[in-house]
Amino acid sequence: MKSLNPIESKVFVQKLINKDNGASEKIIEAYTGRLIKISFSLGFSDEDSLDLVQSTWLSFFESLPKFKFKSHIKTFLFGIFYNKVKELKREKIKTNKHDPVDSIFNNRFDDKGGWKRLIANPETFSEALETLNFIDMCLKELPLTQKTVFCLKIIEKESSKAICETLKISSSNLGVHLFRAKNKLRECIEIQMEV
Amino acid sequence: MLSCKDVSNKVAYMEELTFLNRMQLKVHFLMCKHCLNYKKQLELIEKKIESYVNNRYYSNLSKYKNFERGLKNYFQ
Repeated sequence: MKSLNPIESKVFVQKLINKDNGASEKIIEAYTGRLIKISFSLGFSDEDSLDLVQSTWLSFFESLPKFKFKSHIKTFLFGIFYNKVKELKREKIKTNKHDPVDSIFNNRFDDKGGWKRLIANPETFSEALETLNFIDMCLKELPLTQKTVFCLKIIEKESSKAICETLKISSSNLGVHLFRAKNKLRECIEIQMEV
Repeated sequence: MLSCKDVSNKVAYMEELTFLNRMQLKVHFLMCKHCLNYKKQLELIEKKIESYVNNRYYSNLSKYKNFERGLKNYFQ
């Protein structure tokens, strides 16, 4: 079983709420870099990333007295961060019943569900990834929720349960977002390889 | 028997697969090079993005540490 990070303990959170010396420093130290990295992976510039992280901390400390201990403090923080991201992007989050990547994905297979076209071997694919710098561009093309799910899962190594709580989505929805994000990235990279 | 489409659907989110599903995937990968390549491509993308983000962060680390210090002072 995974041991609880001291920063996640109730005692620590209570210290934070009571404005105990050093507690705010510790939590800022633990999560600022991680929030900056997530902002990068969501396609934000340096300036936007720092603004985003700063406003997240402001809201975090403002709303801390309302924290009910129903979730981990990290989930609480990341939930605020995600709302800030949504605000910044001014994107209306709606569950897309159909995503263009589904059609692209479906066209890859024949009637029996077999591949229509060969998949590039990993060595060629890896070389293209190394030599061509289009990761950032492909990341930017993902819709916000897909990008956030992907980043929390891959960069932050967050558990599915925590991601679902942070983004307020179901487990099956998480699977769909992750599937779409990975496929979009793969398709985007493959298209760039062909250009 | 899983089709390539079924396999590539499952590969993107393997965490919640049952033991049986995992075994089915393993058997499929033994027989289908394309699906195996597809899986490896997804893994490469994950690694590449992770290292892209880390490189971007660590190449400007002093700037971000200064920012962090500013936050600590402000919220003290």
